Amino acid sequence: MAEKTVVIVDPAGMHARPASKVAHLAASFDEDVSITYKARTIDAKSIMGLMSLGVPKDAEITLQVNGDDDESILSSILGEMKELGLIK
Amino acid sequence: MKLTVEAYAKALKLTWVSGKKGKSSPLKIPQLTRPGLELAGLFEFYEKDRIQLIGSKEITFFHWLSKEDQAIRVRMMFEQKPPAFVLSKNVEVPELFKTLGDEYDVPVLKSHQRTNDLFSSTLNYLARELSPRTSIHGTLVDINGIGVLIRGKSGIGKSEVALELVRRGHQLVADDRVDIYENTEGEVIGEAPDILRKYLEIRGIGIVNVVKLFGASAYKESKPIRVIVDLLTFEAAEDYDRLGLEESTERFFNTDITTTKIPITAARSVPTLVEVAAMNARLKFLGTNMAQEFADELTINISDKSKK
Repeated sequence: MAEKTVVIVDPAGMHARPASKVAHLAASFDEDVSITYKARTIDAKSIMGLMSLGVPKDAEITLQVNGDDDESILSSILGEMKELGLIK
Repeated sequence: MKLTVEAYAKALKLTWVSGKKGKSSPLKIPQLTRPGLELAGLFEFYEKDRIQLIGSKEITFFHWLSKEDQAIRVRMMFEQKPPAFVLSKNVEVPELFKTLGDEYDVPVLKSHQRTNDLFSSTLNYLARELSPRTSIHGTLVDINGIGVLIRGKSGIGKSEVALELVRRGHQLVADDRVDIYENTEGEVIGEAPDILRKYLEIRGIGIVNVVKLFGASAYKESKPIRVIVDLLTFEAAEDYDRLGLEESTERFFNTDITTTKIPITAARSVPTLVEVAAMNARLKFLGTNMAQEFADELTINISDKSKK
């Protein structure tokens, strides 16, 4: 299991477009990917789930990957989030 | 998040009589009480942490009392600062309650509902707001009155099944993420998180609003979950019940919910299968087990033959 807690820096928070990009990338892996915000954990492959969290700027979220190759999947999702301007 | 009397008053459309300063008093227990015995002078069991409901019964008794007893006992009730007093439709609010409400900053509220309705709507409201909640990944639909939770791996087509079910006249409750709580033991209610209400995500089309597409009847705010249908690819579904005789359940809070595994392939119409699973659950609930009936018929058939 690989896990990392990050802070959202995008002024608009995790809004629709980047959320859908993150979910799309997560869905491309067979492994389970989850995101936790304020004690709610959702399947990161679900666009609706991700958006339902309503994550604002400065919020801390925790990503978790379970399965083979978890470290590299985690870093590729973090890389995508960085590119989208969600995190630093 | 703390639940306040103000939020409760707003949700049940109660009007404020007095004690407005106590509007942010917290509601902590999903229970309420009718303080009849307290009006009779017995305070040993006074449930001061609960909302105090005053109906026609209590108020009739109140008027039987002497002015002195009224003043002493009602003051004793207010003194211990319960979260609020709520009076039902047919109760005319006595002056005493008005003045004591302001004196102790205990909210005194008036409802447009009769006692019984007020009692159950208050209880339901408190259960909804105060029960522990959790989120599950799945899509919840109301199929002819049965709450069916469709689960399955991301991308297996839960939302598409929901779309077809809604098109056939059933109702969407929540897509992809369902928030659940236990109303009473045996009844787990599911609803959509605020932001997702009425929306479905369909791959290739995007996010659609079912109310705009199919009308107001396509959506339901919340629904007790009666059956869980797990959609599986054929490879993943090595052990499923071919006869439908086995009953498997999964526990949420203190409630066991029936689960059914449905293996899917291109040739199987999944919405129809889910519809039948719902109807089958309804039949079982009404006391008819189709698989068991078949198995019994077979047993009789075999034993008839062996007699010959």
